[in-house]
Amino acid sequence: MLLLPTAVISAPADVPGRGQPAWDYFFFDERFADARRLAGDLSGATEPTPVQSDITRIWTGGLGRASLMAPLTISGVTTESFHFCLKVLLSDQVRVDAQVSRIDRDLHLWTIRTDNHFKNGTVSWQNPSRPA
Amino acid sequence: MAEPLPPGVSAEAMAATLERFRQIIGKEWVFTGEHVVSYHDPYPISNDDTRYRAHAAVAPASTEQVQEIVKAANTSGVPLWPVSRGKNFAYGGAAPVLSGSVVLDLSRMNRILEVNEKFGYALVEPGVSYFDLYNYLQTHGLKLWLDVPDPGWGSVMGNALDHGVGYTPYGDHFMMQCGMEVVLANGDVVRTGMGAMPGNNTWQLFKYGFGPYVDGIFSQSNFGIVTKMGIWLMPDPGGYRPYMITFEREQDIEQVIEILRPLRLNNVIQNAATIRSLVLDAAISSTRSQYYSGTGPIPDSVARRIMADQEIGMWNFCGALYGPPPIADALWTVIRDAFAKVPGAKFYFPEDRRRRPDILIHRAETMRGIPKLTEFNFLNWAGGGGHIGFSPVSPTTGTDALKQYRMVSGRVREYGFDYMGLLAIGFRELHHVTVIVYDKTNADERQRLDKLFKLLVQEAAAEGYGEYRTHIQYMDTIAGTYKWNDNALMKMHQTIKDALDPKGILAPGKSGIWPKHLRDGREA
Repeated sequence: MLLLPTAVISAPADVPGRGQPAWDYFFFDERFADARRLAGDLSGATEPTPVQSDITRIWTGGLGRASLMAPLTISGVTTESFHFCLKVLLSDQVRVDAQVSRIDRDLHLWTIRTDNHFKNGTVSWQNPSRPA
Repeated sequence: MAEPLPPGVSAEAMAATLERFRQIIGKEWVFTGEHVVSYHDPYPISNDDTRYRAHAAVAPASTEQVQEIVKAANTSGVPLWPVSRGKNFAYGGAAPVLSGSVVLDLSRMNRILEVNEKFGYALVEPGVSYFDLYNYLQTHGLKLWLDVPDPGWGSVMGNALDHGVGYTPYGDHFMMQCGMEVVLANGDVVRTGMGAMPGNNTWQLFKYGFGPYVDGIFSQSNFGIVTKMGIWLMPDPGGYRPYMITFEREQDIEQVIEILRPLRLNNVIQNAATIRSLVLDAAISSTRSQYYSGTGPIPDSVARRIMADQEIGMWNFCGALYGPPPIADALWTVIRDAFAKVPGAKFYFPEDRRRRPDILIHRAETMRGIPKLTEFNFLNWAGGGGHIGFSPVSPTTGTDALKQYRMVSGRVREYGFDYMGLLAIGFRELHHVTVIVYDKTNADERQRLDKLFKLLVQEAAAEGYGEYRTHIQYMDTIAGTYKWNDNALMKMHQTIKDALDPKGILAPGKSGIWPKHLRDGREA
């Protein structure tokens, strides 16, 4: 599955907010009723993407590449590992600003914003500038 | 909080050294202040946040730059903490043992220098991840398989140097390394094995060269900085059939291991297979709160419900058959008949599994050498996201496996955690990896975990079980258990350290090895 940003924004949103269609992606953990409900409330005009903790296919399926093409604002209501892994993956290749709050034992509500400055340090395998 | 300085290094000396680093590699590759945060341990255990803190980080792009940085550090006495990609999470990540160290981040050195399909090897730099190498093999259509540990974002070189394991027949990563390039503390560069001979063409084919075999002293050590490493890759076996066998009772582990030992020694079980516990496997696709809202370890009735719901056992043996169908068929017949002797054993292939996500579907990819991050799911089991591995090694006997399990699981539950463990099957030994998942935001829980961990180490050592790898906070503790003959091994390590790194600038405290000027109170 190739994921592409559903919206391009000119300025990053501050925090997730009702009715603000500010997200390039919105992820929710479909196993939890609260996550499904919050996704409905907070995803705005962005079609929320259901997940079950594992970031691997979403990252290798296009999000990793997309994050190198343009700044992204991503939000979600997921388990911690999804947010943690996404933040680490993004941090390997671009600068990241992350906000997270824990809403219950399982779920975290979070926002990650990236900019178009490649991180000093690691050049990811998705980076097209990487020498062959 | 201001970033700490290492012992004996003034603020002025540190500033001058960082300025020298900027001259060597450019100011954009020297990180200070808020940019050091990404080098902190993501799963801290200590409640003292002045410990295990880097002062700064530097990211060179070449062996030559590493040499110059090392020479500058030697002049000023600033300690360096080399990391390949810094993804050794649960063991401290990129954080140093000694606060105030400067992290030497080698992640920019990420070239895949050679992949040889004919002989089945790669020559890589430290920053090459499993994702990188896998992608390279796929992109170039090479008939080679990778062996991956659970997190695919780690360094191929770093994992091997830290004695990491994967799950194919090439699962012992350090066994599969062949030939190194190493920068020593004085800035000299050496190549090991056949690489020491100018013009030689077997650097990645024959490990030993001529004379003492030294590669091992650069693993889990602080004797040099490895900047290139050869790693053997498995030829496409021509067939692949993963399987899972589940066992219903905790005590089955004794019989299972007895059955397994001769099969593994004879290579009937071809890969570095694993036997995983109920909760560890359940946590890949669910969280504890979906089954139980009480405190303390889950009761047996809940365990039974999870088993029924997820079609898994109290123990789950995931293995795979590698080779053309006639070979796989023959091996499977032997394996199936052997384990069928265990009452209640159930046998599965991926096509038998209906649930999604499913543990066998997940493990089938890992045993195929596909890098993933799925295993991080287990961090969500109890919420809070921290984890640490307690990993004693024992012989492959049923008696040891059951004893290990009872010792560790009893203590883990006594301290209020669920037992989440696996037995990684080597040829002659078991790595009993117990993952303790804790709430990293809860200071009390961290303190409880610290007490538990030290007790586990102590009790294991009393029974002759030693850990093969550990978190930075426990390197001294674990090293202290390898104390035969008045700490003879540590004394030898210290002799080597003093000879190769007399100023003690490379990774002070790594694996419990401290330079002479920092040994006070830590003498072997």
